[in-house]
Amino acid sequence: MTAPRPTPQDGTAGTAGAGERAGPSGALLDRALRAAARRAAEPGGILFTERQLYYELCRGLRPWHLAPRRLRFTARPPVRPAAFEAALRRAGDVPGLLPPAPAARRAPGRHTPEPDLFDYGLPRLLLCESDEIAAMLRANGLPMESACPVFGAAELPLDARVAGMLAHAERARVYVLHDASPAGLAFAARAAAEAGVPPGVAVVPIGLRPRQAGALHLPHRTGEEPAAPPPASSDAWEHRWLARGRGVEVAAVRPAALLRTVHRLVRGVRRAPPRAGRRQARASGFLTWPAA
Amino acid sequence: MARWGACLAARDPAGPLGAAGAGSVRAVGRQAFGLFDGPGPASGPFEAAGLTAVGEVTLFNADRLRALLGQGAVPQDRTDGELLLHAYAKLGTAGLAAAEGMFALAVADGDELVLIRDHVGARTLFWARAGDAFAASTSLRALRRWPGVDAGLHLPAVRSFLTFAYLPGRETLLRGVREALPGRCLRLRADGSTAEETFWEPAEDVADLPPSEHAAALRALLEDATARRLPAAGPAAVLLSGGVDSSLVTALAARLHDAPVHTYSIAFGPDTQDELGYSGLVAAHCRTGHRVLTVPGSAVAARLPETVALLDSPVGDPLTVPNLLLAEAVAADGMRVVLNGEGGDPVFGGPKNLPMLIHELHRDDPSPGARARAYIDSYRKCHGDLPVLLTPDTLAALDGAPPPADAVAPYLRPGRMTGLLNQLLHANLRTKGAHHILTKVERITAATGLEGRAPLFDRAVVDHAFRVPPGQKLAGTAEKWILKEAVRDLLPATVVDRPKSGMRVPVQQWLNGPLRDLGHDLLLSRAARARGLFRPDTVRTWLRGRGTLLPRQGGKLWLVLTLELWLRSFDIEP
Repeated sequence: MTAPRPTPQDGTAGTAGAGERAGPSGALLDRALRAAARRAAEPGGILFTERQLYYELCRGLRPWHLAPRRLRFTARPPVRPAAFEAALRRAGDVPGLLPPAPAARRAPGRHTPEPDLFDYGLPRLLLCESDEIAAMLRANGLPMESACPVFGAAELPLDARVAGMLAHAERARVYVLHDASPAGLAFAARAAAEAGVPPGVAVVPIGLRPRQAGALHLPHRTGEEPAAPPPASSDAWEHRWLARGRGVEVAAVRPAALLRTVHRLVRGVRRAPPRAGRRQARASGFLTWPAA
Repeated sequence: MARWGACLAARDPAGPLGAAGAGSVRAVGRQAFGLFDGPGPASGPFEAAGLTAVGEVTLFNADRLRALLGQGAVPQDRTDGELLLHAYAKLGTAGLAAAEGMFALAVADGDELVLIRDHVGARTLFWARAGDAFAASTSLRALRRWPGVDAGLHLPAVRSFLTFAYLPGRETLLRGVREALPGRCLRLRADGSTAEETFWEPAEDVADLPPSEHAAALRALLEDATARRLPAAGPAAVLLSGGVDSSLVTALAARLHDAPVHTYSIAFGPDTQDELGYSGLVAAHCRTGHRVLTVPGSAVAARLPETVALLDSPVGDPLTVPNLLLAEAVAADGMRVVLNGEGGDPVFGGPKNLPMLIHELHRDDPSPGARARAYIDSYRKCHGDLPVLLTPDTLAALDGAPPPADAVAPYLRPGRMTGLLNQLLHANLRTKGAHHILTKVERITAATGLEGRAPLFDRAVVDHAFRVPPGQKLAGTAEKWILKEAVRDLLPATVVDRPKSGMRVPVQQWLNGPLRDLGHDLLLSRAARARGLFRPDTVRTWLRGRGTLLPRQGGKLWLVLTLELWLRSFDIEP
């Protein structure tokens, strides 16, 4: 599959406007959706959110992710959300698709009668800007795999007993997974206070930065409220990109790459060098973002 | 070198033993005993206090047991087996509980055949119904040959093995054969009935004492446990990985033994990460004679089939061949006993507990089985892959069979242990401790004429572990904290306070290199396909390094490879 020719000068790519006007036909979209659902679940039957499926569909129709990383740009999605939702309704049950995350706040350890659950230390914890992404990471077993509890923004502040477990650990870290958007960057800045992270616990943003989204050529949203002021660590490209009201959701990252990357970042796992070429390396998640 | 067999039958109990290949067969009423050739310390039949028995018995508290039975009641020249039989004859299961050691014993007691396995499971024994008789042996291979025993493949055990990398309870891979559980006394009766008595089970008895008092008490118990496992004379050997557990055993042995102590470590070559820096530091600190054995992948490939064949039940642990080579090196130095640091993790709270605590924070499913299912997920073996690894026919045949989680569920609910951490430790001790760690050590060392001894599995040490408040075992995020405090003065701080890393075994390198041909030949062979257990497409995907979210294909293939080798070795048919 040949990647469309990017237009990196303005940080966008393709003929998204034309794509939105014309859009794929219903039959094409239905086939593409089924293929996207299969890809999103690979490998091993990953469970994914509706937004992740949407972006997987976009990736299938406009494979910008195959473009060279040295070119920094994001792209408009080739499918309108309304068209995706219509296709999703036509598709019926989609294997692997998670139901919407419940908004209810649930007490940690609510089914654990043993008295000692909160007596131990937690070396790490992950806060997600998106409750849907938090639920997806939990549904795929990341908390046990990475020994890292995962909470969404709606579950903040943290239960005092969980915060106490962080305080009970030496060198505990709280990681913050956020979108590459003004709102996401603002969440990263305020998450520690909002969560009630105990003093002395390091807070490490691991979410997308605009430059990372640009290197991965992820689909962007428009109409974001520009950050004021933009983060001090932003470079000129990021300043311009944010000023245009753009944002990229964490959901735009392939589900497998997201799970691998979060695991790698919260566990401090070193990446092995790719063995057999770029395509295989992409499949294994090596082209994911570095620690912010 | 021998292993024992026993039979209970209304008529001619000696006949099946002889047919299975036993020698030295002796019938005593409805029971008969005999010995099979094979790597093990079996002796007998012997008699004491009017009872007849056969056994593999090593006692570490023979002096205390003699004193308990009364001065002069058991002459000094009696073997450990005879002494244990005396204890059973005089005190019943209380006599067994008072013993400390490694034992698997069969006793003719009236009309019953009584099977006894030590407290923690350092030695193993199996039994089966054979027609209208009972058969028992420390050798599964002997029961495989036994007339009337159903030795077909037990499919639920295949699933358990792929889930745990060992078999965690009574089941074996032979349909009609069961493993006796540790700390139990199993009575087999001529009418076909059975009764099981527990003579020891860890009990939560938390003493709310300051850490210093618990550490001091633990130190005394560790010294006693180590001293009792040292050889009576001559040099002592310790397997030293460089982790805190084997390091503390080394330090205690060096302090308590009045002859030289030799330590043995392992490495996998220049391209792999090892812990030789730590083990070398401990060896220098404790002034041991230190030897490092480098095990190349080619040696693993060459020795893997015979190593798997040594195991009564397979263990999907890539360290089995290195363990065997290390044992051979120790034996070649003239040693007959080798100490190890096994037991620290399951008894005092190693690194596998945090994921389960986190699971409890998030648990949505209130059913008691949810914790057990999460526990088996935490093994990270092939349980989640079973729908794509096993063939549709195998999956259909397993439909309705008890799930693997049933093996751990009884330990993982409030009951004997009220604390969550203690439940996890109890489960670990009774499953992985007894059915993986200890049985592997025993089989591998016995194959070289050695006896592997584990002071951290000492019964008094284990009892003490459940008296220590859980927060002193997992203190904050510090694992095995009280154990480290108990020996802090014996070791360099860099060893005591180092994070747990475990032995990094280059499984994937081996499978891509020296084991590549063997792996492909075995797993994709006509014989493997004919057995019909595994889907070749999934095996091929894993062999190409694909199909899993995280790079665990090597570990998964290792399980499948081990199982295939074991099934071939035992010539098991569906």
